[in-house]
Amino acid sequence: MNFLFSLINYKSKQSNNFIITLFFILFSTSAIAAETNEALNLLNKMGKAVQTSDYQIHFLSQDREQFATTFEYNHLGAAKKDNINAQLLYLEGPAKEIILHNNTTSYFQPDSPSFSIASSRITEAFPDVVYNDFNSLASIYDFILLGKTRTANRGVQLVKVIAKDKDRYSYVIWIDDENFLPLRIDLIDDDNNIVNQLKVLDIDASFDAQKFKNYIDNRTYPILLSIEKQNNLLDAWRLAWLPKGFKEIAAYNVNFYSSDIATKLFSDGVFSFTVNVSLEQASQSNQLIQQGGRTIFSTNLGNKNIIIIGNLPEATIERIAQNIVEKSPETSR
Amino acid sequence: MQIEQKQQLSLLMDGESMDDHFIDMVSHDESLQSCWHRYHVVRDAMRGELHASSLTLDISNQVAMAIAGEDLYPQLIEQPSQEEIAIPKAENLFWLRIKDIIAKVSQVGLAACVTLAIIAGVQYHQGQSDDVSGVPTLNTLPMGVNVAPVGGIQQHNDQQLLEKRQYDKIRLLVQDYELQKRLNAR
Repeated sequence: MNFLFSLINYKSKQSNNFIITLFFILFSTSAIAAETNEALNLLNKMGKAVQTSDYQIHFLSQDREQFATTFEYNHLGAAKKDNINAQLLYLEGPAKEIILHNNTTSYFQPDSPSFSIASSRITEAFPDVVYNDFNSLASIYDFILLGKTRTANRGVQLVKVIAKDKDRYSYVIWIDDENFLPLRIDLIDDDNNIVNQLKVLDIDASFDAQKFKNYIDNRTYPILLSIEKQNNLLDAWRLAWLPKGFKEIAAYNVNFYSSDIATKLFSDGVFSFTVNVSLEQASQSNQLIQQGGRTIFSTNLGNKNIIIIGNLPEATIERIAQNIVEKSPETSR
Repeated sequence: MQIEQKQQLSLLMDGESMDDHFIDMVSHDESLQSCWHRYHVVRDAMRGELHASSLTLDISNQVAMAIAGEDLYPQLIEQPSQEEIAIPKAENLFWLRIKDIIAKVSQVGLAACVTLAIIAGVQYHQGQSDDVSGVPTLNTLPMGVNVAPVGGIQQHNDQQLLEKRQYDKIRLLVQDYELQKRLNAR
């Protein structure tokens, strides 16, 4: 009898342990899920704040082993993309100015003629990563909360954006606690080295939005250069492997010394690259150049020269180059 | 220079003419003298007796002259300020329209111009080493296999030409990449 009791007691203890363990597992997974959700919400708030709020910031941008360059960025937000106005001023060197107005970006440069192109963003300011619907990126990227700290005299939360496949650089974005603007964006490689850094020094609270609006409205802008789509594409190759989430954005020919280079642009919304196939072979069979976050890889394949340019790590760029397949005449088009 | 004079010069070289008047002319006319020098170089070359110095003498003379004439310390053009940037004035708008029409005709040329201007903007932002000193950077990076020039000068020049073309190609494609990124920004 005594024995039976102790056995039951033992059994119940074990099930008790089991329940506690089960509870702990459930709780911790839900805690992780909640954290991911919080990171996702923060990123989405940031994406919205960058485009819809009015602000003036001063920031510096720096590539690895390069000097930092300083900028002033003025932004008039709007819910509709067409109504967003922005201006980027180069605070050092030649006085360059880039203005976004009515979905057109105008470049004013003291050393060459001014011009406008149809572009809905000043890409020299914030990198592509901030302009995303992060819900759609959730299948390709992990979003991790890293904690709180302070920069530009403001409280911020750190969020890491890292590809699940680990074949891309990752971003650590410092998001303002109150206005959700990105105050620092670090591009980081596999070894946790900073490849490029954008750092906001201050947010100007006395920014006069009306005065800035008047300035934008009363400025004369250079002619818009239309770049037309081509029809006679060389469609002689395809990629057998693409990093997950990448899609073909554009395909066109680039003219070089009266011969055509078949080019395609791919992007996942965060990173991008072009693949360029030409018939003229290079003298060096393999050539690799790194400029900040940008990797340029040139290789000879068969009787062709392939050049891949993009903001991806060397290994990924090389893997893309290895997966270019020539289409046979029947299957092309 | 008259053909007769050249013929006389040729005769003189062969020792078949002893015209004192012509010899006097040669000693006063520089172009005839250089012609005299050339004929000798040609004759020596044909007979396989050409001495290296007879050729280099002429070249070194030219090089020295070229160096003397070269502007070694070019003055830097002053950097224009932001206020001085040419902004199209309202009264010029009509001309801008016409320019616009012309621009559409020569689309290809303009596209190249735009990409150039854009990369000039990008360059500064993404590190000054990008393209400013592009050629040396590209050529001095011995990634992969660097083919050593084999044999004569001609081959070496071909090699350099090929590398220059490849560099031009890469630069064009980097510009194109930056332009397309902007045009396709969502």
